Amino acid sequence: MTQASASPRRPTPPVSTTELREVIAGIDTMIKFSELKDNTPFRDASADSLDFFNLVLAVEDAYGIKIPSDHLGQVNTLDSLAIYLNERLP
Amino acid sequence: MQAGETMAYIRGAVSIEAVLAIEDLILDLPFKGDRDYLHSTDIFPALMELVRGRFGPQAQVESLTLRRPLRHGIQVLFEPTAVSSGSFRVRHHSECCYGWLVETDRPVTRRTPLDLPVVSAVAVSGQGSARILQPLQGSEALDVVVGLMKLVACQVDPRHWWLSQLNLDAPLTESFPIEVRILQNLGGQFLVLEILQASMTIGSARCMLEHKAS
Repeated sequence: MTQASASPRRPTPPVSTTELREVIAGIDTMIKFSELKDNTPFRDASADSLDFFNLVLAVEDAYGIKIPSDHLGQVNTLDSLAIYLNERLP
Repeated sequence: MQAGETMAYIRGAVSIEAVLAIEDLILDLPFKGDRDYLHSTDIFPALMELVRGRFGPQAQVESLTLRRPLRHGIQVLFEPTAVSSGSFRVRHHSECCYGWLVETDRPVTRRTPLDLPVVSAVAVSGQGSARILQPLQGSEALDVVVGLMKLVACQVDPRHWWLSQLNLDAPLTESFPIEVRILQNLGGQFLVLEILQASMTIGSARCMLEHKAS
C-alpha cells in the first residue's frame, strides 16, 4: 500500500498548499480532493480519523518535523497546515 | 457496473468474468468472545479464503483497512463505493486489485467463544515491543500478531485500540519468533507498528486509540 514517503524532502519554505496536496495524494485516503479547498476542514472533505492521522504522519515524514498531539487541532485545513509548517521549518 | 470501470481497478490479467462473478458477496462471520463487532482476525482470513477461491491459491490479501467497527454482515465489493467501512488490496503474482467492505443491515447471528490468545504471560516485552518465541497451541500466526499489537499498544495507553490498517509485504507463515514494535507514536493516539516474523520485517499495522465520544 502506498503510504508516506520514507525520506524527508529537505523542504524549502514556503510550503504551499499545492505541495501539501501532492504529499497527501500519496496516502490511502477517503478524502475527496475535489471538495478539498485550501480552507476546507479535512473532515468536511470526507476525511475520517484514520485519514487525518495518516495525513499528519505523511507530512511529518515528508518534512522531517514532529507535530505534537496538542497542536493537531491547529492543522485541520491545508491552509493552516501550510502556515504551521512555514512557521516552524528552518 | 461498466467493464471499463472495473478494469480501472483490476490491473493485469485477472479476467473481467472473474471479477463480475464475485459481486455481492457477504462475509458471514461470528462475533469473537464477548465483542459486539467483527474482529480483524476473522475478517482477514475470510477475505483470504474468498480471494484464493476466486483468483487462485497464490492470491494474497496484502492490506486491510478498517475505518470503523463492523457490527453486521459485510458485503465485499470489487468496485469503489462511497459508503465503504473498509477496503483491502489483493495481490496475485505481479497484479493487484482492490476491494471494499460495506456493512449491511444483516445481523450477526453467531458467536465463537474462542478469543485472542492471552500473550502477555508468554511474551517477551521490551520498551515499545513484544515478541513470542514459539507457537501458541491453537493460535494462528495472525492471532499472535494481533495479540502482540494489543500488548504493545497497551504499553502506551491501557484503553482499547482499534486495528485500523494491516499491511503485509509477505504472507504470514507459521514461523517464529513473531515480534511487534512501535515505529511511530502520534500523540499517544495513533501507532504505526512494525511486524517481524523470524526476525524479518514482513509488514506493518496502524492502530488508533478508541474515543468513546466518537
